[in-house]
Amino acid sequence: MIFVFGALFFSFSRGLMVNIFSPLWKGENAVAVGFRNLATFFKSKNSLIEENQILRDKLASSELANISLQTISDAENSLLTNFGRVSPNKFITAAVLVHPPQTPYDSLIIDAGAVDGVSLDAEVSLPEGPKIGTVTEVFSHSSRAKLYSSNGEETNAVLERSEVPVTLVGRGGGNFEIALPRDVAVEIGDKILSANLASTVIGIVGDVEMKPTDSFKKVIVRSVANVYTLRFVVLVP
Amino acid sequence: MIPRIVTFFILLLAIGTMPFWIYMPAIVVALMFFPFYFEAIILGFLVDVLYGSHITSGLSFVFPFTLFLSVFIIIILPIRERLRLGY
Repeated sequence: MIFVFGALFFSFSRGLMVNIFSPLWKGENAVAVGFRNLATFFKSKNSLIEENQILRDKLASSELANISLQTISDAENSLLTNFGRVSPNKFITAAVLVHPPQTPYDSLIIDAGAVDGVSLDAEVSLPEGPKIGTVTEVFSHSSRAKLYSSNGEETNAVLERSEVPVTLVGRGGGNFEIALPRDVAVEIGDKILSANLASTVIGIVGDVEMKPTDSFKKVIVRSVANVYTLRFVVLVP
Repeated sequence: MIPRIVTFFILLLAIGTMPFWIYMPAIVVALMFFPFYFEAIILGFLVDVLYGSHITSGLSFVFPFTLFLSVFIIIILPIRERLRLGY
């Protein structure tokens, strides 16, 4: 009885529950930022100088990589335009309110909703480009996204090394699994790309398991995104 | 009665702020500790409603954790009486 009545009540109050908990999650994020700033306050001068230098070096290297990637991206866009396939240029940036391990089913709750132009099935990507999931529910000021790594979720992708189409099966915690015929070459560190025209990296091969008697090998893939530390995502509505 | 209510609110706060590997076992422990802890089912619903993916193919898929808790509460009732756990 409790289960049936609860199911009926909670089925119609999903948005309401998310709205009730949203201030808590936003407050929690603010507290986390506050603690990070407090930790910086107590760092010694020398360690800060050292960290500053390391960050400057990293920035210089990233800027170089960014320039070279921008050139490739421009070339890709002009090629797509020539073939009449214009890539969407409308994005919505959103903060992640809740991410795993707080969510047990590899889902995210983000602070952009219908009011901000988010639509159902919108693609969720990292600010750097890789796609990580899709929006499954849209509320007025927030929405819920299901990650590709969610348990049982199937995603079409391509194994870069041999350009073999594969189906990634989500295993939770930012991990995927692929079953490949034993003759297909795959090694740890191989990239798995999304199966669309402007493909981006979805995951990296982390392990390959195969017994001598098996006709298929089990490939464990880890997502390029660290789902446990996501702070911002980009939505393509 | 008061420990039950306090536990409920602590678990409620845990659901909103802590990793699932803390609040999920805590709910199961509370279910074993208190007699017929039906509040766990409400908490289970909350976990599924807040964090579950929306799959409209039967109640069991929409509320998997709640279904687990509902089955567990039925199983634990006779076992609990024999073990004399908690209150």
